[in-house]
Parts: sequence; C-alpha cells; structure tokens
Amino acid sequence: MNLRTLWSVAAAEMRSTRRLARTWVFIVVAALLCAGQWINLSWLHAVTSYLSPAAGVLGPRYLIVGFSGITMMMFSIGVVFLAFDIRSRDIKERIGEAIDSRPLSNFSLLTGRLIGIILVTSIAVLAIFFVIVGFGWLAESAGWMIGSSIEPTSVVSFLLWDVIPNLAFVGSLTIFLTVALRYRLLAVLAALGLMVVMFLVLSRLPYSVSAALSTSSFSQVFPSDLLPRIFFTDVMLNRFVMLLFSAGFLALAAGLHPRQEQAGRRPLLVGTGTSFLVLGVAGIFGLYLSQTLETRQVEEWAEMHEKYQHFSSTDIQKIEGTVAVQPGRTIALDLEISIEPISDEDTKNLLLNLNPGYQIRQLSLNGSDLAASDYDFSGGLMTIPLGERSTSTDRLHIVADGVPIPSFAYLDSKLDWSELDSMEVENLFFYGQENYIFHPKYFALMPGVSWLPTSGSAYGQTDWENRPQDFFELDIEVEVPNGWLVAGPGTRRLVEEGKTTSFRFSPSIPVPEVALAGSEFVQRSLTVSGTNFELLLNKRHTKNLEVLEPMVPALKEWIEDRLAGLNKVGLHYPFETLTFVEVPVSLRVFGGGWRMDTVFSPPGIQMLRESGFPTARFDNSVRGVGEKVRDENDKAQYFLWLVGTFFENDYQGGNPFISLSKNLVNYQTMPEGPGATALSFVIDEIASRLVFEQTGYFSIHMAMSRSDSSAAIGSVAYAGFAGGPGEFNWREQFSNLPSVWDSVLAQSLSEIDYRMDPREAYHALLLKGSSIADSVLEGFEEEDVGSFLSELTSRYRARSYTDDEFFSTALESGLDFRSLLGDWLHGRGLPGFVVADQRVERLQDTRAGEAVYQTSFILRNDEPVPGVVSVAYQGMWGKKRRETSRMAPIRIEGNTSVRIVFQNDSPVHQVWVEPHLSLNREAILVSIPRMDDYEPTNSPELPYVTKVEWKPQDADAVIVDDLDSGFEVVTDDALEESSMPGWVAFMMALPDPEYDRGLPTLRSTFDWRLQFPILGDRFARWYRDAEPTSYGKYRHTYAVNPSGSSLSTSTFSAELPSVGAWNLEYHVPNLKRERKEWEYFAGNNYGYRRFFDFGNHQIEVQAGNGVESIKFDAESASHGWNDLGEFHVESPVVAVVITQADRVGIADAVRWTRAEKATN
Amino acid sequence: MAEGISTSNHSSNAPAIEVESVTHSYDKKTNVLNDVNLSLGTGFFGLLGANGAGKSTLMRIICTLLRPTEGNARVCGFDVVNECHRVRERIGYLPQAFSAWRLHRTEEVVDTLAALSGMTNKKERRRRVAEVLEEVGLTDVADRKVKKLSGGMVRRLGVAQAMVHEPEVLVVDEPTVGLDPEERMRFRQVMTNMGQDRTILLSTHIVADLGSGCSQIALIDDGTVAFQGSPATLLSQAKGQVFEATVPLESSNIVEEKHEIVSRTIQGSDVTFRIVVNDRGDLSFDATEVEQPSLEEAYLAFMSKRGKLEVARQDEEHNAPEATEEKKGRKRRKRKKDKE
Repeated sequence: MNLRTLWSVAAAEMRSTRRLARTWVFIVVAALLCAGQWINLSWLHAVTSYLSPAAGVLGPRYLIVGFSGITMMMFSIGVVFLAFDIRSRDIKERIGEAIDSRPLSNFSLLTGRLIGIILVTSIAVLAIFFVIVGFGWLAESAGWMIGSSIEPTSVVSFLLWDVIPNLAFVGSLTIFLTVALRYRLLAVLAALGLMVVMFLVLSRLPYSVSAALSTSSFSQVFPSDLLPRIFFTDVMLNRFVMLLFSAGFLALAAGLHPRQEQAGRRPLLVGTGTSFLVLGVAGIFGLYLSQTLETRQVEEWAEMHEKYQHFSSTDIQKIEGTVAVQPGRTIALDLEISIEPISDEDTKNLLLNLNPGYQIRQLSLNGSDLAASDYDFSGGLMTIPLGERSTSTDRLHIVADGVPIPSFAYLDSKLDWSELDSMEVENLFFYGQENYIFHPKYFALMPGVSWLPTSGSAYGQTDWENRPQDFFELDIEVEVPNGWLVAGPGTRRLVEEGKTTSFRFSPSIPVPEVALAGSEFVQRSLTVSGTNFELLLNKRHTKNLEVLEPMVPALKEWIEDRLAGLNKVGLHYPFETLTFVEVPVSLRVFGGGWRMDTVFSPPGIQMLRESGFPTARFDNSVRGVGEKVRDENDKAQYFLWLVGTFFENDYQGGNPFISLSKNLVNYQTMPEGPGATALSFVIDEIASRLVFEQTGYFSIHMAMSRSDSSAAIGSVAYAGFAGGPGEFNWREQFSNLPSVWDSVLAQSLSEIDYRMDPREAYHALLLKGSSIADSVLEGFEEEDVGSFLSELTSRYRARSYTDDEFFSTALESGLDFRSLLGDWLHGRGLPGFVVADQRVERLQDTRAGEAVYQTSFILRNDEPVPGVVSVAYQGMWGKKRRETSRMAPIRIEGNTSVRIVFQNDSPVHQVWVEPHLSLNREAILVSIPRMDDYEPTNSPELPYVTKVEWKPQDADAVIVDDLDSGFEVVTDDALEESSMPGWVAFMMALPDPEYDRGLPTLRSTFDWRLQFPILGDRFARWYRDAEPTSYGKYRHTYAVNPSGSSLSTSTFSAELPSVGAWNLEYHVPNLKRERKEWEYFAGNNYGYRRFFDFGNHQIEVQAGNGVESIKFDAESASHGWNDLGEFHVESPVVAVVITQADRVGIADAVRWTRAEKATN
Repeated sequence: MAEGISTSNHSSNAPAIEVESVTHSYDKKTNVLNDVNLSLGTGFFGLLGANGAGKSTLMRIICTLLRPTEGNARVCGFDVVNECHRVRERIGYLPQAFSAWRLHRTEEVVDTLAALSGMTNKKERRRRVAEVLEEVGLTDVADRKVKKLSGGMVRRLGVAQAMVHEPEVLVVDEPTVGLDPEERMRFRQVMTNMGQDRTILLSTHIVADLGSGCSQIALIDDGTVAFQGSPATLLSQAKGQVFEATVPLESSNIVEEKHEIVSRTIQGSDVTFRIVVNDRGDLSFDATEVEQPSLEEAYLAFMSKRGKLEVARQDEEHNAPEATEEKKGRKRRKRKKDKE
C-alpha cells in the first residue's frame, strides 16, 4: 500500500461520491443545520449578550461547542449511508469486476474509498464553516448587528480531531459491518444502532472519565481567543485509539472481503484487524485507567490533606520574594516565608501546602539549609520539623520550580466527579474546566491550585467553623516576559525592565490568598478618589471600550458615590487598585469546599470571562439609543444602568456585586467557630448591598440541574427577544421554594449541615441570610451598619472572630441584632404576621384643598420572634395606578400588634406588607375596602405606627384550609401510573417536582402543565400554589387541578364540635386581580393564573349517613367566602369532596358555621 | 507490499497465459470447468464455446476474480492465486457485463480506472487516456456522460479501460454481445490491431468475432477444452464436412428438414444451401464439397462431430441479428417436424 495508490482510490471515490444524490442531501441538510444554528446563536448573542455575561458562552464564536455534536451526528449518519454500499454500488453500475481486476489490495481499496468519503464530507464541513467564518468576519468588520466569526482554531481542531477521526471510525465500522453481514440494510441498522449505543454509553459515563473517552473535543476544552490551541494531548491520544479501531475494522473488512486477495493475506488481515481492535480496546481501557488513576491520585491527595484539614498551627505572617513566570514553560519560586506557630507547646512541625508539580531546589529554615531528608514534601504537603526554636517567628526560604499539576486543586470539592452522570451535568462545561491556565500566551494562577505555599493542608480551607482563615502579608516580585502585564492583589508596580519585566505586588493589608493573571493585555485605567480601577483586556476585545466610552463620566460619578458612601460609613477599599482582568472562558469559575463558590474575585481582582464583558454586543444595546436619548448625561446613565444589570445578571460566577464586597470585610477578617459560614455570608450580603445596592446569584448546582440551567438561560433569551435589559430574580426563583423553606424552618443558620446537601444548604443560607441582611439594613441606619463593619474589620484584621465577638462588637457599635431579629444565627423561630381591621377614610382636605385619605390596618406578629416588615402601597390617580410608594421599615416585637396608618391624596389601590423573613413566606396583600364615594370625616391624622392591643379571636367556626391536615388529595392509581417517563422530563429539562405539604407546586411561568391542559387526564393532578387572596393564617395558598379531572379528588375533612344544622362556605381566591409588576418577575406563574377558567365544581358533602352532591360555579362565584348552603349534620365527622370540575378545579378552604350563627 | 504497475516484465520464455488442470465448481456438485489446460503466447487468442460452456469462469479465474477449485493458472508466469497482485498488474480485463458509472464522463471513467491500475502520474495518465480513447474511437465522446453512450461505445469504453494501463495480457469476455454489425466490425478491427504486440484472450460464442487476426483458438465444451490450435487446423478438420447444394425453391423444405443448414442463398427459383454433415453418405441429394469452409462452418462442423451442433448454432444465432429470419424459419420447421 502506498500513498499514491490510496490517493488514486480516494480520488476515484470522491468522483463517485460527489455524484451521489444522498451526498448532497446530507451536505445540504448539514449546511442548513449549521447555518441555522449559527444564525440562531448569532441572533441570540446579538440580543442577549449584553443582558448577561452568561449568555456569551452561547455566542457564534463558540459555535463549535454547541454544534459539534449535532454536526458530527449528521455527518456520521451521512457516512454510514455513503459507506454501506461501496461494493454493491460498483456491482450495480457493472464496473465491479473491472475494479476488482485492478492491482490493488483489498485493504488499499477499502481504505482509499473510505478516505474519499471522509474527504468529500470533510471538504463539505470545511466549506460550510468557511462560509460561516467568512460571513462572520464580514459581519464583524462591517459592524452588523448580527454575526460574529467562529473562533478559528476551534474550527481547525474540530476538523482534525472530531470530523476526521469520527468519520473514519463510523465509516470503517460501516464497511466492516457491510462486509461481515452482507446485507446492506442490516449493516446500516447495525451501524446506526451501534452509534446510538456509543452515544448513550458516552453520555452516561461518569463525569470524571467522560472527558478522556469522549469523541468530541469540545466537551473537554472551550475555544478561546486568549488561548488559541489546536493540539491537546488527551484528545490526540483518544483519537489515536479511534484510528486504531478504524484500522482494525478496515483490516478485518479487507480480510473478509469477497474480492480475491493474495494467498495468505486474508489470515494476516484478519489477524491484524483483530490486533488493532484489541489494541483499540486496550487504548480505551488505558484512557479510562489513566483518568481513573488521575482521579484516584486526586482522591489520595484529598485523603492525605483531609487528615490535616483542621491543623491550623502554622500561621504564615508574610510571604516575600520572587515569582518568575515563563508562560507555558515553568514557574520559579524564590520565597522567604515568615511563620508564626500558633501554639508553641504542641507545635512540632510546620505544615504547608504547595502544588506537587514543583521541585524543591532549596529549603532553609531560619538560615539553615535543610537536606531532603530533613523535611517531607509529598502529595503537595510540606512538613518541616521545627526542632529547637530560638525565635518566635520562623523564616522559611523556599526555592522551587516547575509547573503546577492542574488536578491538584480544590481537593475538598463536595462534588464527586466519579458519580456524576456526564449528560446530567453537561452545563458544567460552561463554567470552565481548567483549574488554572498556564499557556505561552496567557497564565492565570489561581489560589486553588496552590501555586504559592499557604498554611496547613489544601483541604477544608473554607471550613471556617473548624479552621480559621490564615491571612498573610505579601511582598512579591513577579517576573514575566516583556510586554506582559499582570493582575494581582492590589497595585502593580514596575520594578525592572530588561530581558524580562518584573512587577511588585505588596498590598498594604494581609491577604488570605493570591491570584495572578498575566498576558499581553491592553490596559485602561481610571483613578477615582485615589483608587485606581484598571481594566486588562485582550487586544482583540477592546471594541466595547469604544462603545461604552460615553459611560465613563457617569461611571466615575457612580464610583465616587460608592467610595464616598463607603468612606461615610467608615469602610474603604483596601488595595489601592482594583483590576478587572479578562480570563479565558475555559478557566474554572467555581472553587472547592461545600459551597464551590466563585473564585473569580480574589483579593484586588475581578476576573471577566472573555465570553462576557469583553465580547458582549453592547453595540446592539445602544443601537438606536443615540436617537432616542440625545442628552449625553441620560445616555451615560443608560449605559451605566445597562452595564450594572449586565453584571448583576451573571449567574455563572462573574458577578462583581456578590464578590467584590469580600474585599471590604471578608478578605480582611473572617469569622470562625459555630455559624462562621453563615456569618461570613450575611456580612458579604450586607457589605454588598451597602456598596452596590445590587445582588446576584451564583450556585454551581445550577449547572447540575438541566432544568435550572435551562430556566436561567431561557429567561435571558426570553428577555432578549422580548425587548431588552432587565433583572432576573434567580435568587427568588431558586431559593424561595417549599423544600428550602422546610430546611429553613427545621434548622437555624448555624445548624445547617453544608456537607449533607450543599445545594439545599446554599439555598437555605441564601433565603435566610439575604433576608437577614435586608432586615439589618432596613432595621438599622446604614451608617451604623457601616461603622460596625469598619469596627469589626479593624478590630480583627488578619485574624478571626467568633460569633460572640461579632455580636458584642455589633452591640458596642449600636446594633442590637438580638432585639431586631432575635437569635437569627442559632435560633430556628421566625416571626409570623397577620393583618386585621383594614380601614380607609377620607379626612378633611388640606388648606390647599387637596384630599387626604387615611388608610390603616392592624399588623400582628403572632410569633414570639421579632421581625422587620416594609409596607408598600400604590395610590390611584383617577383610574390610573401610581408608582409604588414604600414606607419606612417597621420592627415588630414578638406577639405584639401595631396599627399602621398612612395618608395619601387618593384612595390606595393596593397595600402590601413585605416581611423579609417570616412564616408568611410571601408578601401579604392587605385588602383595603373600597367605596364609590368617600365622605370626609373629622378623624384625626394618626401616626404611622402605633402599638395596639389586639389578638386574633378564636372564630366560632371550623375552617379547613388547603394547608391543614384535614385537606387530602386522593389520586386514582391509573393516573399515578401515567406519570411522564423520566427521560421525557429530562429531555424537556423539566424541574424536579417541588412538593409543598405533599402536593407538587407550580414553579414556573413556563410550566408546561399549565400550558397544555389539552393533554387531559394524564396531568390531572392537584398542585399547590401561593396567592395572597387565598385563605390562610400566614401562608395564603390554594390547590388547583388544571384539568378538573375526576381521577384526582380533593377532600376537606373536619370534626365539628356538634351535630345539627351547619352552614358551609367555600373560599375562592381572586386570581384575576390586578397585580404588582414585580409579581411577574419572581419566576412564578402568576401571569397564567388569570387565564384559569374554573367552571362548575362537582362537590360532595358528607355530613352524616348520606352524601349530598351539589354544583358550585366557581367561575361566577365572588372572591372570598361563598355560601354552599345549610346542611344537617348527623355525625360530627364531615367531609367536603371536590370530585370534578368541568374546567380548572380549585380548592382553597371551607368554613363550617352553626346555622343559627352563620353570617356572611 | 508494493502496488501499482510492476516494472519487471515476466520471463520471455513463460507463456502469457498458462492454465493447468483447472477445475472449478460453484456448488461442489457440478464442475463448470473440468481439467482445463491451456497455454497461450503473444497474439490474439479466441476462446470459443457455447453459452454456459465455462468460458467466463475460466476468464474470471485468469483475471484473479475467482479462485479455481483445483489446478492452477499463471499469467506471465505469475500464479493467479498466490500472486494475484502481480497478475492484476499485467492484465486488462473487459468483463462480459461491463458498464461504468453512469454519471461520469467517458474520459473520467478511463482516467479513474487508469489511476486504480497504478498510473499515478497525472500527466502521463492524461496522455494515455487520450491515446486509448483515440484508439477505440471515443475521442469525440470523451466529455459525454456514460449514460449517454451507445452500447457499442460502452463496449469500446470497456476496451479502453482494459487497455489504458497497457497490460501485457488483455482478457475480453464476450465483447460483442448486443452490438450491431458495424460496431462488431469496428471492434474486431480494434482487437486485431491490439493483438500485434500483446496477448489478447477473447472469449465469445460468435465465431465471426474472432476475425482474421486470431492466431489461436480454443473450443470449450462442457467445461473442457475440446480443441486448441490455429484456425487453419480447425478449418482443416472440417474438410469433408461442409457441402454446398443448389435445389429448386419448392424442394428446399426437404433439404432443410433433413440437414443442418449453415446458410442458404436464394437465386431466382433456386436456393443454394451450405450444409454441415458428419459423413458425406448422409447427404440425400447431390452436393459439392466446399473446399475452403469458413471458420464458422468449421466450428459448426467440429461441434457437429461432438453432437453439439444445435447448441452451437443457437448461441451463434442468438447474437447474430442477420440470422434472425433464418432462425425463425428453422424454428417453424422444427415445430412442424415435432408435430409430425
């Protein structure tokens, strides 16, 4: 076999293949799919990339990531249909014998023909991408709204590592099957079947090994402009194995081919083919083993470090020296570390962690060189016996070099990669896969990879309950190639420029960790009130700097305001410089520990993913704004708002509003001991709101849930198509759930076990912690809160504090947390609010003749725990609603009542009480009576809040609410069995059912169960839903059955105190009421409820021996209690059963009242 | 393993095609070829035989497409089983049922098959393709798609593809089936020209296809070689078996019913017959012995001796359009005879 012969055969096959109709069918379909997807992504990117940085990863630049799979599938199927009849085609064309008599071996003939098919297909792929890339470049050059080219090296990688090996594999397999099975149809079915099996196997592999075995390069490494890469060792090994399989299949096919072969060659071919296949299997096993061994290695490191996780006796005081970085080659450390053992008696060793990729060249302690036998450095753990100590502070000198091992990072990650199903966590890919970056063109040295020695083990560094945070001073010189810039903690000072460039980083305060990011960046900076704000971007990603140029004055003003606000409350940014640095999209966003929090905001740095701010299409957002907003200031404000919401909507870890505030407090001092995690979270929340008045959401667990990921990106896409920027309340959507509430009610913040269920723990922390932060900021003056944080920081800088120290410092600063919220850290109780005695009256007009309306109601906290509420209302102006007005927050002691009064120049439209954290869970709608005409009275104007003595009276009625134990739903077995198959729910990315007191809840506006009642009985279940106008003491919920089917009935059971005549009433909530705007943005389905059409309800009343059936027209019923009639109760045990509704069934509450006392 | 055209020629002493005791069976019950022995040197060699006689099987064995059940065959000294690659380098093969990729152009087909024959030098290949198309008279339709070629053109295309790599041995299986007389004549000319400096093995059941250029003939009958020798030898063996007789038109039925007629010519009220008989005594009327019988008559005479005249004649007539009327008449007469 020689290459010329192969090429001859390939060329012949290409001639033949390109004349086949099916070739063009596949090419056209693939081209349409590709172009369609590119247009789709381009459009999506054009309209959503400026709404959230998270949308950027779906941009056309990364088309290969999202599209390589389907393209490969399409072309693989194409190859099956091109390869399955290569011989029978010849026979049909009656040229088979002429070809068979040619001086070619069977192997050459089959291989050449397969190459021909692959080339035709690859050229088609290349042509398609060439057109797309070309058009993208054109679009970029011309500044069109839609269009961006694909990252070029990803196209090359795709062709080299995905298209060719995959098509070779599928093609050779098909040829082999065709020869072995003889029947073409059978061969096609077998080939397609094996492809499906392979897909299923690969997609269900554990996440830890899927990268090594995947046949798609782009499930492993995200394309990047910053890191143009074509060659990947792992991928190449994998593809080599695929080619072994291909060669094996071809050799076997050649050995079994009906065409005559040279004597003795058939056994040779069969033997060779079998050998190749065996080698391929061995290769797969090798890849699997290699990955497993790496995972095992990480586990061993983790086990080793876990033993010392609570070892906190090594307190690094200072790290100084040089870090010489030769990007892509090596890092050389020459460091002097000052260490102060915490406990002199017990401490016999110094314990440090340092990435095992380093080779220790020299180690000396207090000036004495240590031989290799004098210390231990294995598995990233460095143990140095102290021996006789002459000083209280030890000085350790380390000279080391090497390349940090990427897998030595985040050893205490809660997620077990070997148990995660790769398909279920496919979205994890969008959160970066590389623990750190070390590339000839870029480096990002993340603290998690232990590139710099730090104290103790590399396990449990965020387990603040058991291990205090170690802070240390830093004074290092970082040596990089000329032309490079480096982002680090604080200000970068140029030290020397020669063959290399050295920068010095010496922040003025101790830091808990250090990150460095370097490249040939383009730099922009802005100095405001003495603080330098620096932006380091890739030179190709500076377009937005021009687009957003008009924003700069407003941005400066905004920063000035923030800094002034900080200074006013006694806080300040400690690092002189805050660097926003662009990082490759492949850099892992999330860290380790239970929280796996974002690592993109190390001290003094905010990392920006290249898919986010640097490449977002802000130009599209501002298109047309110039015409609408002519005033430069308005335009600047618009841009500022736009960029602010953009960052706030980053749910993939780049939101500076939830991270930068760490610099103010938590990077200077940290809590320790019980409740430390919760305390640090609440402090972050408070600091963040003090500075930015903005928040955000980040949970890596979103990536673990297809439904959550889909919901998040779906809402961004929807906003993009619906018309523009907005805020997405993901916090509310993912944390305000019954399961999270159950968790919050069952344990205090300090009791949350973060290791058991990190996702639920985080959401409980988020729900309760953020509410507490809200309450603190509303219950105290901002200046007082700021002063407290300032005092806390200065008192405990570079060390830790306990919860007692926290509360005592707060008390000394004038913040009585316990009085405001009770024991919110260790207590489980929550306040609960009820509303009564709502009134509105018109007072005498003002002297200016303006009307005065006085609205009042009693608000009682019926629980022993104090709480804080806000009151908001909307006035009316004629028939138009006014904007919402918000009253000052009110603190209400436990088991007390207050009358809340406010005056307005018009009758109010709606009044809401918004408790931040209470048993009510939702905002309380205060029903204000309305009148056609308000006669002025002589009532006096009352103060806003007055304490009153009022308690809810025990009603002389028996009420059964849908949340009571007397409410029960019975579902037919047949219906239970008709549940949607799990795989359908998975493919549709439906959220896991969320149960509220045993009933599933309606979670999303896009809940298909509401949108497809046409599916009938199949989904005829009862769901629980919240609605402020439904009946309830604290929580206002009702049950709803969208199809009203008789297969699922609901029953209100009660035991009446006596027999006799009783009146029965049925409560109907007002689902069609006018709503507040924000109700539509809470990730709920309120919008759809107005389309509910209740219709007639078939109700059975069991009030004695018999059963009485009645019909109740819920659609035309009034909102509130509706009389169902009088019943003679012969037995005290009664039941009201809603058996059927001809449209939507609803069950809120029933009320039994003695007939003689019944009232409306 | 080297592929492509071998530069070493076979030994000049070795026969171009040598078949030794080749037996072949498709179903292990019936032998299609039975102990066939052949030895061919340079020149135009005809393989005659009725349909189903085993010609194509033998051809396919020679062309390495089929492995003989027993015996061996060599082409240019190379064994067709053990050295099939070497054999393939040296042969050009036109299968009986040759066609080509319908959507390819004529030139492309030849070019593709030339490339598959190891002609990897594109320039040389193009030159040779043009040359061979010229040789077979397809230059004018070089750009025409195969589906638009006539049957004769496709056969000539088959010759072109078989010749394009200038093989030492050309194996042509039933090349004239379905061709009109003009195309047959042209085809014979092409074969004659090509047979000057190489071995051409042409299998046919139509004696006329062999033409005057044929130097050797082998007759295959029931899987065995019934005759191998020069046409002259075959002709000489027919001596005393071919006669000519002229009878009145009204008596012609008697002659046709009693004897195997090779041809008849009507001249006015008389009909002149050429008749094949095994023995002159069989003739029931006056007839003149033909001094120089044609090759076709010699073939029929040979087959007549083996009692296979009818089979041979049917094959001849099956593909000879000019004999259709005669065939119909003979069938009519035979049916009549059978009835009687």
